[in-house]
This record gives sequence, C-alpha cells and structure tokens, in this order.
Amino acid sequence: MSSSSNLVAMKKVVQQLRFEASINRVKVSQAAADLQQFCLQNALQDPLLTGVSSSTNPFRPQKVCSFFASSGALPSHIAARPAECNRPLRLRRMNHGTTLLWNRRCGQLGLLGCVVLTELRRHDATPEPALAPPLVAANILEMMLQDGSTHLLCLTASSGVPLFTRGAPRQLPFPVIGSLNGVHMFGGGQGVVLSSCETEGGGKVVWRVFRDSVMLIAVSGGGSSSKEEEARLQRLLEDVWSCMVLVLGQDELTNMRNVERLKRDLRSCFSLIDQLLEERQQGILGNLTHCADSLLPPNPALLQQAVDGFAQAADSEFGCLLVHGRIAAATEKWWRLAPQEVVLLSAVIRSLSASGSASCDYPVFLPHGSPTVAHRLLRFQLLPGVDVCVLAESELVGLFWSPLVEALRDCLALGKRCMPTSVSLRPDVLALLLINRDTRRSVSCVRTHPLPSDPPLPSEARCWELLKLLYIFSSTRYFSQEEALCVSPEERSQRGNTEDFVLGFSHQPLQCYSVTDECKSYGLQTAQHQLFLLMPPSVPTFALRSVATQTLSDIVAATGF
Amino acid sequence: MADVPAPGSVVVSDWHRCKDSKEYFNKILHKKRRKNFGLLESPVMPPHAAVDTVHYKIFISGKSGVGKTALAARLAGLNIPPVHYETTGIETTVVYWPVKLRESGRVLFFRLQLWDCGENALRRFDHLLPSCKEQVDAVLFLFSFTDRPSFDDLSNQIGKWNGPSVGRVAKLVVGTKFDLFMHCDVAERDVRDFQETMGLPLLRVGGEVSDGLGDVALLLNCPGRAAVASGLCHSWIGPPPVTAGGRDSSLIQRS
Ligand SMILES: Nc1nc2c(ncn2[C@@H]2O[C@H](COP(=O)(O)OP(=O)(O)OP(=O)(O)O)[C@@H](O)[C@H]2O)c(=O)[nH]1
Ligand SMILES: [Mg+2]
Repeated sequence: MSSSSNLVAMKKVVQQLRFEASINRVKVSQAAADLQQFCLQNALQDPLLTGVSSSTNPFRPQKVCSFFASSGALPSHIAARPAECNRPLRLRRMNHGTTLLWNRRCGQLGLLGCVVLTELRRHDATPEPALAPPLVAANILEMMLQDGSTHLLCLTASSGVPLFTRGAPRQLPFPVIGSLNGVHMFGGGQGVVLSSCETEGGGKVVWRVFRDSVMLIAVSGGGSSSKEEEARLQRLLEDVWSCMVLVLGQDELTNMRNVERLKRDLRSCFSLIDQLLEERQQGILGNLTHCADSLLPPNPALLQQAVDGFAQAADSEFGCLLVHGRIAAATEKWWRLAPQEVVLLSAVIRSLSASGSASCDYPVFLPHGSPTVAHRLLRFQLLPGVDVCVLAESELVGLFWSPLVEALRDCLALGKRCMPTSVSLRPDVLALLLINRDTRRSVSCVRTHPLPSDPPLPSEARCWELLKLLYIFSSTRYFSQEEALCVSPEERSQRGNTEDFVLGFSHQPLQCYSVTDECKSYGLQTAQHQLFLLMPPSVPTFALRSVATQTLSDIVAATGF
Repeated sequence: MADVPAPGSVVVSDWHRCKDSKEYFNKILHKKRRKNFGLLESPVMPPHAAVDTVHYKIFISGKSGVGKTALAARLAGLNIPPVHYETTGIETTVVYWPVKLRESGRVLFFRLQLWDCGENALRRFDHLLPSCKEQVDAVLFLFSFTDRPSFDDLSNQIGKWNGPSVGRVAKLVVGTKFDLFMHCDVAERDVRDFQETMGLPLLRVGGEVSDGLGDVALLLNCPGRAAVASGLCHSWIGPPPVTAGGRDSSLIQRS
C-alpha cells in the first residue's frame, strides 16, 4: 500500500471523527421519545399504517382483482416505474389486498402483480392477444367467491381447453376459465410460475400444472386465514390429481391424443373428486392430515393374522380391513404404499361401502406405486360397516372371515371411539386426534357427553370442526408439516407454505395451546407423535399440559400405537 | 325357449302380500326398511323352520346413465343415487328374497347377486365382462324411457347373449325412468311391438321406492312369456323345482 493512499485514508478518518464530535448528543431515552413523537405526528401520512387513499394511489385497481377488471384504463405510472414496485409490502397495499404470491426461481412476493399490470398496459397500446390474459368482468369472479365454497377447474395445460369444472352449482362462464388460465400462461411466458393469488375479500385462487399435461385451478371464497386456506387448496389439487390417476391411469392423462374422449372419461372421476370437495364424512380427517384414519381394535393380533392370511390366499401382498371406514388392520405392504395412496384407497372403499353394495371389483391405478398399470381392488362387505380389501383376486371370503364374525362385531361396537375400551380416556377430554408420525396413521374421536353443562359444550359436529381447525392452525404455524412423499423437493420450495414464524427459529415448537370461549385446546409434538386435544373450558389452563401428556402416554401404553 | 313355464307357475306370485309369508319377510326387514346383509350374514330362520337358500347371479346390462346402479339400489331397498356418478368397476349387490314354490309349498330364500358394471369401465378394461358373464344365471337388459338410442340398441345387445357359448340364461328387459313421462322418448306402441318380436318379459320401473318390497316382487313376477322367477328356477332348478338338494348346496358353495 502506498503512503499517499494511506494518508488519504487517515485524513478521511479524522474528518469523520471531527464530524461526529460536532454532533449534539442526547440521551437514548430522549431520542426514543423524539422518534416516537415524530412517528405519531406523521402517522396519518404513513401509507404503511393508513393505506393509500384511492384518490392519491396511482396504482389503484379498478375492481377487486385488478387483472380481472374489465376496464383497460390502468395508469401508465406502472409501466414507467416498475422499479418502484419492488417492495412487496408496498405493492400489496397498492393493489388493495390483491396479493399475488408466486415464485420465480425464488423471487419476491408481489412482483408478478406488477408484471401483469405492466403487460396489460402494454396490451392496451398494442394488442397482443396471445400474451395478455383475456379480460373479464370482475363481478363474475366475485360471485364465484361469495358463496364460500370451493370451485375446481381442470384444463389441458398446453392449450387451455376446459376439461371439467366441479364444485360450482352451475357451469362457470368460459371467460372466467379463460382468464384464470390466461393469467397463469402469461406468467409462464415471463418465466414465472404463478401458484396462488388472493383477492381483497379473502378469496383465493391456486394453480398447479401436473406432468405438463393437466392444469388444475382451485378457487375458494376463503374465510379462514390465507396461509391455511392456501395450504388446503394446494393439497386439494394434489389429491384431485391423484384421484384422476387412480381412476384413469397416468398414461391416459398425459398422452392426450383425443381431448373429447378424455373429457368423457374424466367423468368417471367425479364421484371421488366431489367427495374430496365436500368432505362428506364427519370424523374422517385423512384428507387433511394425509394420515390413514385408523381404528385400534380390541383384538389386533387376531385381525392382523386374518388380514395377512386372507391377502396371501388371494395371492396378494396388499390387504386391509376397514371398520367404520377406518383401517383396523392391514398387511405390512399396505402400509408401505405412499401415505396419500393409503388415504385415497380408504376414501374409495368408504364411498363404495356407503353405496351398500356387497362386493366390488374396481380397477385402480396407484398414483405413486403404479400410475400406469391397473390393479384390481376387490372389496367385500363382511358386515355393514366392515369391509375387507385386497389388491388382486380373491373368492375366499367366507373361509377366512366367517370364524371372525364376533371379533369384527366387537370392532364395530367401538363405533366412532376408534379405541378399545382398555384405553381409559380422562373424562375431561372432549376430542382428540393422535398422529403417529412414523407410520402416518391417525386415530381420532369425539366423545359424546351425557351430562349437560353450563355453558353447553360444543356439539359433536362442532367438535370435529374445532379439531380440524386446531390441526390446521398448529400444523401450519408451529409444527412442521410432513408432506406426502409425492412432493418433490423442488415443488416443496416452490410452494413455500411453511409459516415464516417457524422459519425464523432454529428450534421446533413442541407444544402449543389456545383458550377460547368454547373450549381449550392443546397441541403436543414428540419425535413420534402429534396429539391434538380439545378440553372443556372448565379445565384450568395450567392443567392442559398434564392432561395432554397423560392422554398420550395412556393411549400409547395401552395400544402401542 | 318354448319350454319355459308360464308366469306364476313355479313360485307363488305376490307372496309377500300373503299372511303366511310374514315370518320370512321379517327376516329381511329391519324397522320397516330392508336389511343390509354383509357377506358373512344371511337371514337366519329358527332351526325348526330352516330353509334352503338358492344363489343366482344376475348381470345388469345397459349403456352409461340408463340406471343400472339405481336399479340395483332399488331392488335392494337402498337409497337411489340422486346424481349420476359413473360406476368405475363392478359392484355387486345382494338381495335376499323368500319365495314359496307353488307345487310343493316349499319355502326357499333366493339370494340374488346383482352384478352392476359401469358401461365405460367395461369398455376401458377387458377383464370385467368375462367375470360378469362367468356362470351368470340371468341378464337384465336396461333401456331408459327418456333415451331412445338405448331402446333402439336393445336387440343388438340381446343378440350378443344368444348362441351356445352363453348357455342358458334367463333374460328380462327393464325400462327405467318410467316416471319421467314428460321426457318419454319411447312410445308405448314401440314397446309392445318390441315385446312381441323378442318374446321377452318387460318391466317398467321409475319413481320413488315405496316399501322396497314391491319392486323385487314385480321383477320376479314380471308378466311375459317367462316370469323371471320361473325363468330363474327353470334355468337352474328346472321343473319340477328343487328336486336335488345337492344342486342347492353346490350353488351355495359357488359364491
Ligand atoms: N327419475 C328417475 N331417474 C332415474 C331412474 N333410474 C336412474 N335414474 C337416474 O339416472 C341417473 C343415472 O343412473 P345410474 O344408475 O347411476 O346409471 P348407470 O347405468 O349405473 O351408469 P354407469 O354406471 O355410468 O354405467 C341417476 O341420476 C339416477 O338418479 C328412474 O327410474 N327414474
Ligand atoms: Mg352405475
């Protein structure tokens, strides 16, 4: 280093020190008070606190969701100064709640909104119909979102030909479908994968393309908090795709030679898809948890042996016994199916069982294990409410199961309790959901309370509802989400629905609780289990933890779950 | 088929209305609704009144949406699906039904196993039709009164079930959605003409399921040249009915 440059540097330091010495010093407390005063004085002008009034906001959207607005009169500022839109928070506000979540190969929240608006603007000047999404009257989308239900659209990914829509009481107008597809396609053209979007009213749109062949779009009126709703819709799309593969096989869905024929064939998936959308059966949480809803029989060894023997005799390694739609016993191979498959097959069997038929022979593809070769799913209704299934061929029902009628009746008698009477639950447990994180199985129950209490305890239906909410709340916020095996790491990063809260910590929350007027709830996580408990408000808050830990150890000790 | 006995000549028709049938029908009813039997269950009579059970396999044929699944549910006294969801494989439904043989006065339980296979599934998977056809005793050919092409295709469908390879199978034509007369697309005269040329019994169904008993009785006593019950008995037991006990038991084992 030369001495002259050294001198220059020293001079700079001296200059800086002089400058700092001349500054008038105040105490920290004084500075803090000044800052506070300044903030309060200027609070009215702070757009972060008050939002931007629509008259001064140059980026004001015409309608709820600006890219669906029919008017093309978007201000030119955006096109001129896109750099100013870089800050996600700001853009969010400017769009009046129209948040676009997306991921470029990991970009920021909100930028796409800017890109889309910019392009729309350009489109106004020089029409480029192939690029810009078609414009729709925003009120159609609003109407869709209002009734709070979930709508599902399916299109071909390459050309955007509508294949089907479900969940809507009436057919969606083509322009709506067209623009939902158009926005996504447009993003694709910009090197951006649009994954979800939120409207001012709390509505949500989620896009996903499967195998480059089929695009699924879910639209929901929202209601619950956005993070949770988005996670739910993402999972819904994944499950819907699995249903389609299960019934039709992957080949038919990806080698799309004849769209009209595919359209017709897709009708055979509607029963399962509608079941997913409606969540018909109370007390079945598999779609939510991706864990197999299970029932712990009083005589597990006996039934296990019978299922193993039955499957073997049927020349199959996959066998499973369902009681009240929950798995009571299954062969080892059955448990080695992807968790999502186990849940899906249970759903298929439940819907067949609900029809009251005596036996079924259904060709099914396994979305992960065998997406291109169909297996035969044979289901036999042993007793109303008890079904046995194998993936293969079998005609030996009576031989294997007749001696077990009484054991099966004992299982049936458990009802929705799902656990043998040898497990003594504490009286102050209203409802519980227990997940085994290793086996991806779950048991859940809501207890009916004979004694009236004041204030009245939540009804059975409400308890199921609360249990679901507790699960969603805890698992999206605190406990790590165990994704199904099917999600590739790349997709996982794309989806990014893990709560920032968790990401900000180096450790894992292990317990959480909440107290409301209706009930108190507790979530507990160990290396092997997750337990979610509802208790009456009368239980003292300090006791929640011990009730939870004791319940967990009671169940595990008695059943080995 | 000239040797098929006349309707009502083998089993007592409308026996479910007779007093002496009550103790038998009680076994298939629960709280005035039809009982749903699992495969491990069957109506059980007290030891002194034990009766044999005769098994039949009945295949329901017809194009997608004509009402195959609905008919199976109707005959079993189950809830009829209000919307059309395609059946994507085979579903079987079991119907127990006591009958009284006219000649001997002997009572039997019919165990009708209805095989319902979605039309589109049949087209997509080759293995389904053979298992439906295997050892089948009767076929119900469905058409819908609201769907003319389904009626026009009948003779073609029935034709596939003639010939030596199929063996002796009782056949019956069922017209569904008879209640939707506003949308009726098949004239009564056409139906009569058809019946005359084909010489098959024809049943019209539709509307609400009443007590869940009438429909099965209708099916079994269906007027025509061969009442189905007679046809069934004829195809397996043959007149005189149920001579060989061994025949019965082999049928029972077959399931
Ligand atoms: N009004 C009326 N509707 C009927 C009748 N039978 C069937 N339906 C309706 O017709 C629709 C189709 O009936 P399904 O029984 O599901 O049709 P399917 O023949 O099983 O069709 P696939 O399984 O696709 O081969 C359903 O919505 C039924 O409710 C009837 O007798 N009257
Ligand atoms: Mg059907």
